[in-house]
Amino acid sequence: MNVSRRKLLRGAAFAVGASLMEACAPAAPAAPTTAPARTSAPAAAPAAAKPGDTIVLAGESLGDNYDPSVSFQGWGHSWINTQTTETLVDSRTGKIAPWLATEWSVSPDGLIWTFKLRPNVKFHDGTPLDADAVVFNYMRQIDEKHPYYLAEAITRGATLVGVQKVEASGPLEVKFTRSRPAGGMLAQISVPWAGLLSPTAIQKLGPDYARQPIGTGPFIFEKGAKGAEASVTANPNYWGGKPTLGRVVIRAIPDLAAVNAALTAGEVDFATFVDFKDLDVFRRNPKLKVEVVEAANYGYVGVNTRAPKLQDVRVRRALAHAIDRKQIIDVVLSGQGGLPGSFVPAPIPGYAKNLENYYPSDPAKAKALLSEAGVTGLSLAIWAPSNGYWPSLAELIQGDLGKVGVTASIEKIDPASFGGRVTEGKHELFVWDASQASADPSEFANSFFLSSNPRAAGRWGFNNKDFDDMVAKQDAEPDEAKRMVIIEQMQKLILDEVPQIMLYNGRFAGVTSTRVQGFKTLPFRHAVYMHDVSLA
Amino acid sequence: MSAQQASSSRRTRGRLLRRNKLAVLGAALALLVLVLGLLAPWVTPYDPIELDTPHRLEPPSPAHLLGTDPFGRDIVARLLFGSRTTLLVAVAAVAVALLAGGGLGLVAGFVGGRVERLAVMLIDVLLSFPLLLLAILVAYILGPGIINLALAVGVAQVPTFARLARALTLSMRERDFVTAANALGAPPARVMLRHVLPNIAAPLGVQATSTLALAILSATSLNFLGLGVQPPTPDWGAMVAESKRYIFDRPELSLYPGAAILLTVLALNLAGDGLLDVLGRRDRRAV
Repeated sequence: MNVSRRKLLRGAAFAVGASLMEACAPAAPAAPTTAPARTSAPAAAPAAAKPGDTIVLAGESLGDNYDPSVSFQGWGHSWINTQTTETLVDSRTGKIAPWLATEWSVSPDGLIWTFKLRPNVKFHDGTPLDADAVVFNYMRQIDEKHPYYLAEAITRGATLVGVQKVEASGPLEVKFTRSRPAGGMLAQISVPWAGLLSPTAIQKLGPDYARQPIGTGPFIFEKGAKGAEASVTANPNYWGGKPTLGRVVIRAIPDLAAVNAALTAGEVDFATFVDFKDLDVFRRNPKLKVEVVEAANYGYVGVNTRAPKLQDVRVRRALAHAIDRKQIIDVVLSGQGGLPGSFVPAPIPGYAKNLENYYPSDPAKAKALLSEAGVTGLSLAIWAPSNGYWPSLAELIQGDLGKVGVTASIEKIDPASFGGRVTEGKHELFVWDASQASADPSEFANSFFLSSNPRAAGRWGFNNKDFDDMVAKQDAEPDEAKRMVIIEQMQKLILDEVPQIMLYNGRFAGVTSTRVQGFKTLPFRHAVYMHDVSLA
Repeated sequence: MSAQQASSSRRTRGRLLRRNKLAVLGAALALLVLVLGLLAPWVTPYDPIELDTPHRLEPPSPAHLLGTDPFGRDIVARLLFGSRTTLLVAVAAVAVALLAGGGLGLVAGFVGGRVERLAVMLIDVLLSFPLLLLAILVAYILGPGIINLALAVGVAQVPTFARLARALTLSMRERDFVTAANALGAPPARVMLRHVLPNIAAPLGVQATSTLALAILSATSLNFLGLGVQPPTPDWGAMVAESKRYIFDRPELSLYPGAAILLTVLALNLAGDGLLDVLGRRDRRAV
């Protein structure tokens, strides 16, 4: 009997222990993300001079390819790019300003753009930033015959649209030749995806160059572990002066409750991927500062117009009418968001206020459109990134679609590979948001919907000649007011064709610990720059 | 074994079981969960799936005994219907493990030779994976869904059953009645199924009962991780995951499904342990 009682107790203890683990499981996702921090801290000690000069940022995901011009791997990931690499032109505040290029000029026909480079700038490996370096970086993205050609560069669709050739016209002067004029040229090459890497490193390191990016930025890449943590250290030879911070650590914490815990415990100094419902709690915390800004961001449902069930535009419009956006804003965003316009987000010039709420929530109309299209018993799959509020948002949409007789299933996908997966074009619907990287109203026209862009085909199967023509027309339009009229027509066309169902205009909340000084939350997701930041 | 012996052993078993009050309590609790799950549509008037966001996150009230979840659904209804998913997956998983693992072990032990060596190697490899890791691996390969979930949890338990079945078969293979059957010229398959299998069925059954608790834990863990049933299907593990967002402001949302898992697993473990005690005694005496 003794033996059996002991066994019994052991069994019970196991059950209790195991179940408690389950009950306490919400804390568990934090474990994998905090674990690497513990192991990396001792290793980092020799690198960091003082204990107080390391800032820890909470990012949502980290990939392992740090070439700025390849597929998006998360914003936490792109913050590594923004600390280590730089572009010719700066637009982080929404205004165009010199950066690695000090001045530029454009030919009267708008086809030839000449940039003068900042002298005495060196990459972290000592390679000088000269005309050859710029030519190497951009030609490998557009010239298929380049020995280091980068087929997966997203720049062709986002930053170098219409650029035919980049060549050196002097030791510190580069010339961009375009096939057609572009109103958004400067904004396009200002985005972080256009960041410049050391050509020597690319040639010497082979495929590994992307694991240790060598740029010109104020911070030098230290190390990175996919999905866990990456760090950069101050560049003592930075042309703009050595940064105050010694080290920046970016920790991937995809779980919003874990971000809340990390902020409250003081384990991270900055987070922008926070649950909006927690903002009041953060505001009441004397150790935290909260800043909410209207963001260059909107949420959407990506619609694969080539999927057999979604080829009929009436079906796509029906889905757009079925969704209750107010409910999404209230429940998922805790009220922090506005009704959507089209693909130009609210703070960007060219935002179409009159197209707001183009598809009001109207289940009856949705049903009518579906029966007009002769569709019954429609079932669709919604893909959602498995982090943040995306699964909840997908579940609300699932409920809305259910009300108009559309059965939806939800598939959750690892956020770091989400961008790649939806570009393969094997999905039906997916939920995500889009964040502009520049203040150019044609940014998403180019990076999303222009038919020559691989994303247009993959994500929504969108190929519209009228749209392409309008993109070219607005690019060539010198009069800004007239250009905006064309851009509004383009926005209406996208709403009518429904390659995306717009859900909301987003807001960003920057939550920092009070010891962080000199940081400002900007409407751009990538714009987390640490050069001027210090810790009190 | 004479009829008299059999009935007396049955009486002892009954007495033991009665004496083991905790085991009875466990069995009763497990039965209660099962009945409530089966009768869920009659126990609660609420739909566990339909969203009702204006009434989200309501505190407990006479209408909603445990309040409502982040989508405005009644938590009691979610728990009741969730038990169906959880139990169904666990039972199906154990069936998979019992059939595949038991079959593999039986054949390996009975046939011997190269087949056995190969099977043992396979079992050893599978056993070297932590249980949950193996389940996650299988779930990841198969993709989400309720059937795949049961398969994933079941496959992870295959080695346990295979090893047990093989060991039991080995001890049976050399028994006189098996030798006799072989000597009489019975075909090997008949000897295996008619003479060996019935004699190893009871311990396998006990193993199945105690595995049920583990299967519930694995299944809810996978659901918690989002690798199992997909929303809006109610499930205890998924409910914990959904409530995770509210862990600081509404911790009870996670505690309800967590407590449901705890109690059910505890109940099954108590019942399984009691059963093992009873059958274990008989087996010891038989040897």
